[in-house]
Amino acid sequence: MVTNMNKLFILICSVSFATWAEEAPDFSGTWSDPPPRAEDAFCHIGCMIEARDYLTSLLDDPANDEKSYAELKGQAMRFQVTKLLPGYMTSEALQKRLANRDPRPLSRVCDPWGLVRTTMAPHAMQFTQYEDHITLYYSEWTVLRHVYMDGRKPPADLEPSKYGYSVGYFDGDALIVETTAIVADNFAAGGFPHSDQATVTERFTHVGDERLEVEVVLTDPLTFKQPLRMARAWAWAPGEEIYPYDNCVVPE
Amino acid sequence: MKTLTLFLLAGVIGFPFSTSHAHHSFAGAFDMSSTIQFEARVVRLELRNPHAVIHIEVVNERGDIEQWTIEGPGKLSLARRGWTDDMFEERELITVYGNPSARGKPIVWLSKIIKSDGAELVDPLVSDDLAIEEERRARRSRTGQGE
Repeated sequence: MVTNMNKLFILICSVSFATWAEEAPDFSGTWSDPPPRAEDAFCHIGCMIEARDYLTSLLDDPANDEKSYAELKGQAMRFQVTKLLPGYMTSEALQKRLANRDPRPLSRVCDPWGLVRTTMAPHAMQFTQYEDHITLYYSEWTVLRHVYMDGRKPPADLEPSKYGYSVGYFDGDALIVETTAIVADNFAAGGFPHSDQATVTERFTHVGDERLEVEVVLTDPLTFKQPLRMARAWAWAPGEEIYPYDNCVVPE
Repeated sequence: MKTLTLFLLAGVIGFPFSTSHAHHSFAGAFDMSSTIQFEARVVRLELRNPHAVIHIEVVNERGDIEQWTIEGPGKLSLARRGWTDDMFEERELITVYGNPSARGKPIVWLSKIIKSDGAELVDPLVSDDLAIEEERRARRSRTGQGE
């Protein structure tokens, strides 16, 4: 027998769900590289927000008018890699990074990227929203991620994995994705290294109808003195295909 | 083979594209600070991931045929710029601009290809940088005119 209190509870839940369903932003569809723009091209595979701002300051400085965009982009990238990022790292992490440096250039490795680099992967990304989860399918290495949206917490005894365990929720117009249990990545070649204690928070937002931005916060007390803030953007790209990675071969 | 009347220039040339692929991490595989130019015949295009490969034949200074490859961005990156599997004619003569192997291997990273009909195929990242540079100069020019 359904009591009046139960009816009231069901009514409140229904109204809440209907409101959530109505207000939840919809990121569904295929997104890909935005049109050429200085900061977006610099953040083609993600960048630290401070480095992006540094590039903007270089471009705005009349003293750099005679320098090409490529030169200034290179200057900002060197700033990120040689000054900014090491400044965030603990001395132990810096030593470990040097000791574990992989001499192989990234372009010579047939190994899918780890989570952090994947969160800011270039080219196409397919966003699919279901009732209780979201999938993110990236054209880079055809990585498929699942984000649980049903309010669950990550299991306590999770073993770290390449793409970790992701849960998400909506915060106003933004989608927040929190990922834990990620295997350590000693990414020396221009990427962002971290230990298996790292957590990653992605904040996706629409900018107008045709632009999607993500801010990625990488927190890892074993590697960084404070969280790293990074970013990337995509443009609406309906119909763009994602192609397989069959028999990855390094030509040389 | 009379069709192979090509000549490998293979000199380091001044190339207007200042490639900055730092975050693509090609350093160590290719010398991104220099560009070589040569003519070649297309043997086969493989539009695939993670990187596309064009197999080519070139003739060196001694007149010997050498098998080279041009490596470039992955299939999606090129497909969205109009590349297709059949875009080259059989044994099409092309002019290649590329960053040479850092280890002396017969391979270059794509900077630009000029097809036999004159069409230019430019590395998408390079063409993006050029578009940004052009827009930047146009903006500066407009600002200068407004002063």
